[in-house]
Amino acid sequence: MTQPAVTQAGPHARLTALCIAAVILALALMPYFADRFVLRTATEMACFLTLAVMWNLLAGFAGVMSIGQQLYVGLGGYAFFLIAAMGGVPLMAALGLSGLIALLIAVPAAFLLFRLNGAYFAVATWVLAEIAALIAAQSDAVGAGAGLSLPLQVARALGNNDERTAIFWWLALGLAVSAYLVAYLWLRSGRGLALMAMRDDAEAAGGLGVSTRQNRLMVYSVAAFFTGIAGAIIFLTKLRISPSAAFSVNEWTAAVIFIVVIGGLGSLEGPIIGLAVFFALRTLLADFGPWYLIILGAIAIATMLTAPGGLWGVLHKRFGWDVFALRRHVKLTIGEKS
Amino acid sequence: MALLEFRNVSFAYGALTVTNNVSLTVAPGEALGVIGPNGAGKSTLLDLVTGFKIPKSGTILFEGTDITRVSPQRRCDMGIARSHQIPRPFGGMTVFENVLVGATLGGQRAEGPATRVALDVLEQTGLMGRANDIAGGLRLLDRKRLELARALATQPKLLLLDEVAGGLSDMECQTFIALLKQIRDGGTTIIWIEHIVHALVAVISRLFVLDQGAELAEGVPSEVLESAEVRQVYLGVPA
Repeated sequence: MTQPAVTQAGPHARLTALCIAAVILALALMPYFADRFVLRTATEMACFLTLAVMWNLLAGFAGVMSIGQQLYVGLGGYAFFLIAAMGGVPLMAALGLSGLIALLIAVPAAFLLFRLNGAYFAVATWVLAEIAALIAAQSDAVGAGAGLSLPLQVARALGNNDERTAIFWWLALGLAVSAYLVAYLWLRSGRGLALMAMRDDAEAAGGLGVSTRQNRLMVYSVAAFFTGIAGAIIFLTKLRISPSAAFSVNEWTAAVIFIVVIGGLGSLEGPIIGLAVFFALRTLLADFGPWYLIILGAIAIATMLTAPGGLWGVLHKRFGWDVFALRRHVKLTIGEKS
Repeated sequence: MALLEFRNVSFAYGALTVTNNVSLTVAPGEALGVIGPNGAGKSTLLDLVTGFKIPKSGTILFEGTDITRVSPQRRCDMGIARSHQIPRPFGGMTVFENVLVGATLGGQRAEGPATRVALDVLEQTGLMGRANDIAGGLRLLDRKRLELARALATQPKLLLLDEVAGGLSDMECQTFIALLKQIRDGGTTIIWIEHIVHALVAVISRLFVLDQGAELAEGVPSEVLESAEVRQVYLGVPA
């Protein structure tokens, strides 16, 4: 008897891939037609997108509920400033190294954190980030509470203001695209199945041969790597870093959770939609002061109650859209559909 | 050599002894039934085999290897798989993906061959029509089938079943019996916990009775069920 075929592509896979390529190309050409303000906002958005994809990979796909990813934003940022201060390290190498340092810290941190489960794990990730912030604020080597400024010659080496803005944008865009590529390939593979099985029922997954320890360690350290580089780029564009900015739970985790929850936890499309909503609201509510955060929180809660799959979940359900096809679909003949 | 051997295995939650000095041998290809009143420690027995629980004392051997402290994941690689009494589907994944988890990761296969195994198992367990459905939305019978299908997809040497027939209609139960006979005749060793005794005896060749964590009786099903002790403890018939 012949078996039904299994596909993992959406209905218009080629067209979708072509559109994605076209969008990335258009974004890459932005410095040639967009002004500096647009580029700066876009750079910030690309960094947030990287953070959001990585948090979604952790929480939405692997069930690893970290609220301490600001640890790696800060570590990446500080690592980059320290490497830059030494001088002579090429920019790309310095960024890669910052990510690696975040990863190197993530491995022992994982051994500590994954002894805990659920809410205890979540709180511990936050505590770890706070500890890092306190250490940074006490260490004279990194400027203590005042923080560090990027050496002037590092910024100058990147060209004039316009050239710098373009380089920052390309770096941030490149990182976001790489983060998406890694997440996409991972989630489509057998290892992606392991992550999702672990998220849905870690114990049952263990009984079916999924090594929860190994998979959690892997997803946590890869997220730390990308989050670390994002942190490095974020503070490179700001030209300054301080403990309170580097390890801010509001900015690097709460906002990112908002983006993912609004857009769609556990989907790759979600963070893009959430990002658009977040930046639109931030611009609209800029004059409202503290009300801004209260309104964001209310929207997040309303979304969780009415549409747990986020805005993308609603669209996917309503129209059956898929941009990043992750599911494996068994092609059944009519007789087998019951 | 025995496929599975328990040597004086005990397990306790603090002062509450759940498994009390159980010794048990299961031969390759055998189908063993386990019965006992509620709280006798039947599910715990399976948890000890899969590694979800680690004994307080005693030794568990699988194909002659000591697995007493081996992780559940490693035991799955060695050829032990189970279905849960209360189904635990991966609710956010499709039925096919659920089964594929067992076939790739549990069966240690590349995705190509694993896909063929998963499709075979879906066909065998009657779940093919539900292949693309989200597992979290399945009804009870299909959830139970999925439990079995996921375990089968690892192509285990030892299949552990925890009340797969409970809550099913007579028709559905017959379907399950036929399926389990087929699996048994394929050479897979089975340990099956079940309250529906007529279903159980249709498949198994030996019966093990647990009461308060300890062995009460063991042997040919008809003889064990006739024994006065078992009738009193399990069926509530006065001795």
